[in-house]
Amino acid sequence: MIAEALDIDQLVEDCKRNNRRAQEQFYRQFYNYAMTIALRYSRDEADAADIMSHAFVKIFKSIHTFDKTKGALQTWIKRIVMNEGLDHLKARERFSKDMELETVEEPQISNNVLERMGADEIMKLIHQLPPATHAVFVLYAVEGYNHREVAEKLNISEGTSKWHLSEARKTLQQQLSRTT
Amino acid sequence: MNQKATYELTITEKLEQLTAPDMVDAIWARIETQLDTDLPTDEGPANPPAAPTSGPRTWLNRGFIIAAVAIVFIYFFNNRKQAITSSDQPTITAPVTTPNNNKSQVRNNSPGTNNTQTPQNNTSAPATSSNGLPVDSNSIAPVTGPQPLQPDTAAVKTNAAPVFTPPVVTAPKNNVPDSTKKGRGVKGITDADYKIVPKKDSTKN
Repeated sequence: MIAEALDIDQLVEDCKRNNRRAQEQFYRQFYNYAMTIALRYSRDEADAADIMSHAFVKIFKSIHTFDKTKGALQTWIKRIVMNEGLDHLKARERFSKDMELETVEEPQISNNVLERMGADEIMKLIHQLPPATHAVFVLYAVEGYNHREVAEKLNISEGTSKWHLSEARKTLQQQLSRTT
Repeated sequence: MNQKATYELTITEKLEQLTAPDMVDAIWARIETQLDTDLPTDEGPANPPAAPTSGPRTWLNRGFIIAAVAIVFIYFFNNRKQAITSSDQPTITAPVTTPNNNKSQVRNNSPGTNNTQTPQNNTSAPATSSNGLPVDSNSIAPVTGPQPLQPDTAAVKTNAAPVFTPPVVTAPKNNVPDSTKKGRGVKGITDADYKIVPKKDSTKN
């Protein structure tokens, strides 16, 4: 474990020196981790590949700013990939600020159905959501942010974030009921 | 962070199990292309660009080359000039100052002497030889032998201000002045005369 940490530190240092081999090794090391994040914010694999390439170019351009005393490397990578994914979603649709909701009703989504589904099937359901609703649902339900944090990230109000979450739950509930 | 519902926890677990598609090499190729444009490595591209044609260092190099060429040119030009001069003038006769016993004066630079004459230029001296004939500077100039310089007693007695006197050029001993060109070497002597031929030992006979 310690040796692995030392290797990662050395890899980061080599990436800071713009060593192409180290950058490739770094990319391959974190490919699976970053790709699973990118897939959450994309419509399909091609879209995820776009997010990945843009995100890793940003990572290597700004890796000199990474400070391991301020946070873990994986958290830093996740933030960059997530922001790149949100930028992709925003590019697809202007996030409306008109629809607002004061309270969100508790979801009526069957957990048993979800447990029987595979990860790919669940991902397809999420991909079918409209971009803004998609973004809010992933940030809130998967990443675990609250409405205030979601609103800040997407530059929308908390009420709009609640509205999008409600819409996402409704859509998922309808689709899950069709599958059963 | 929010309090996740049960279904949300299930979705999160499922999404973490998601297998990434095998697009590692394809995506890396795109990243590498972008990095080569935005962050070129120190190793540089396969075909490095040509050296810059401007800049202080280039001008320094150019200046050095020009100076070197100029020095070589001047060196050869001077050598050629000397060669031409030496072929045109087989001998160079140095201008000779022959002291005139009666008229020439040896300046006394010692303090207390009163020498009011200004120092004479040596170049005016060879205009005439001791016998009054004009001296051709291009011809072989047999120079009259050095005459002993005698102090001018009259001048010594006077109190003149110290005047710098350039050293008097005295020509080596020579013969009668001759304005004609003199041939090289001694007449009547050939190269054979310098040959050393072993003589037979008369004692052995």
